[in-house]
Amino acid sequence: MARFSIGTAISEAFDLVRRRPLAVFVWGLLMVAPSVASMALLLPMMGEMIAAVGTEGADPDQIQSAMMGDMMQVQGVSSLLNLVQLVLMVVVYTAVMRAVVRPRETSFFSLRLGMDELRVAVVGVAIVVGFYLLALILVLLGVGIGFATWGLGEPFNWLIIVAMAVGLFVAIWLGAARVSLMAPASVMSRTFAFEEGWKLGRGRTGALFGMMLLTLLIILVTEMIVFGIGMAIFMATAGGLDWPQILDSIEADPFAGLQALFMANWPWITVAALVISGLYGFLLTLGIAPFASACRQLAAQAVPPVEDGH
Amino acid sequence: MAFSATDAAFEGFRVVRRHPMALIFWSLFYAAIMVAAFAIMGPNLIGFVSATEQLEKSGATPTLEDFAPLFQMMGMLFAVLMPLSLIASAMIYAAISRSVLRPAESAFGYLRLGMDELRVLVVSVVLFLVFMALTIVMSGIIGMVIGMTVAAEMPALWLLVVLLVLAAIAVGIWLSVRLSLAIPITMAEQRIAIFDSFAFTRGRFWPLLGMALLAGVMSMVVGLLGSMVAMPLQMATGGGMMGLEGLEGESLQVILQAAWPAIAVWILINAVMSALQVAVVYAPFSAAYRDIKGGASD
Repeated sequence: MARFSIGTAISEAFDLVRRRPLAVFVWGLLMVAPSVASMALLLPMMGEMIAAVGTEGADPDQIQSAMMGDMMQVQGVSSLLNLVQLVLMVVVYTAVMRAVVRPRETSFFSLRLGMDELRVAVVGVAIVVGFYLLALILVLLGVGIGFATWGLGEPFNWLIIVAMAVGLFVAIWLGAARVSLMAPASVMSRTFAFEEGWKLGRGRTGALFGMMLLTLLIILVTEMIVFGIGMAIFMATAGGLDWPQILDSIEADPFAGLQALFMANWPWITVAALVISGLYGFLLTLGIAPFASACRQLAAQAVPPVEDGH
Repeated sequence: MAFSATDAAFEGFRVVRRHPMALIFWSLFYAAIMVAAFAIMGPNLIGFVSATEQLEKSGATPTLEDFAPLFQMMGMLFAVLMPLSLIASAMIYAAISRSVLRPAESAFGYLRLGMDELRVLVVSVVLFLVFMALTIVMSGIIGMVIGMTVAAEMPALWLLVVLLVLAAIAVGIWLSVRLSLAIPITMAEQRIAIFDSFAFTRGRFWPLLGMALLAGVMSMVVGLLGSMVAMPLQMATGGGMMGLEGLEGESLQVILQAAWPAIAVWILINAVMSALQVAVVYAPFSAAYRDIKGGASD
């Protein structure tokens, strides 16, 4: 049976960060940019909305009508940004996989907008839909078992509920591990590789699950360290700010207050956003690249190596 | 050409790429249907809303007699809209099938109103009745078991109820897949062929199910990408159909005068999206039939 090395897969993610730091930064930036854009666009809009409510002596019907209009606008912009974020997520995830499975395609930071991206989007949506269906079936079965065994009384009821909740959680994670090679396999084979991805993962669910936990652990530890450093820097530098005035303005109008705070400190916020972009790119690479590497290792043992795309 | 689920799943995109004009015709067709539906429903719907509001304002507990005019109005609406929707569906399904099976007949974006459409209509109605009967039978069995469970006070039987619900869903999916080639066969062989689909789908359940799921997912992706284009346009013209909320209770003329850009953009966007999504979802089944038939005769 073909095998893959978890160590090789994870170290390949670190290797990618070392080889292509700028690409990793750009991937993170692309993921962070919509969030910054949504704050920059939505905070003033929300501020205006709050200001409209506070207008004294205005006709309540007029206020309600204006509120409805503003809310629809906010809702529209926010939905649009969410969609843009989803598209960027697909583009960036595919770029990370491409950087591992087709390492020679380095131009534009491995970013493209083509059939690979469409395939990854379709595979992603299919997996999400599949998980919802699986969760629905498991919940229905859980309800059936719950009804059937409720007569046993306490403490068995609680034990059964806990066992089922843990079972559902583990089943979903194992399922995620089992299908985790479908997207990288689709990028690698330039086709919808549902079957290939499924076959590559056969008999390796435990190893993939273990790798998933390990990467999650590394991501959590990294986040905690960076959060600690960030907090230390913030505590050391926050003394220079006029906190009572900032808190007063936020209390008066949270959105306008935050907007003013961001405007006054934009250089620091820009630096923070850039640092966060780099970190996000690193964590993203760590979360995706090992699976692409595992896919490549397994496929290399299954068939003779194919020529790289370029 | 042998049948490949992933190849066939892309047929909708291929059809549009081969004959972009077909998408324009289908979009115009959808737009015409939407305008017709809006023209028919608009005033009646306003009447329905007013009648409901009056009933609500009266404060008294409504009786069945009070509801009678409302039911009558809804009945009249459906009496007009149901046939319109059935004919329109038959025309568009037939057009998509024709675009895959007889690509040379591309005039009017493959849209016709003839014997093919009549046969597709008959097949659709029969399939609807088959699934309706299945739903009634399954609901009856499940209802009976629920009744027994409650009467016998045997909670363990609830597990059986859940398993029966899941089994009913599985049977529904199985039958949908096994009958999924009925319309393509009817179009290709120019005769009503409902149960011939069983022979063509034998041993191909999973690839066909995978193809259908893939087509459904691609339609969702198309919908998501389409809404990225649609949203700014709708916002620029007054928030789409949501913007009509303030005009509730007004006459159709007032609604059209006040919100025609929003309505026009909404109809245009939905027409194009519906045409593309229906092509993405339905064309693969015709491609599957074509490839299975081709593979068998090779």
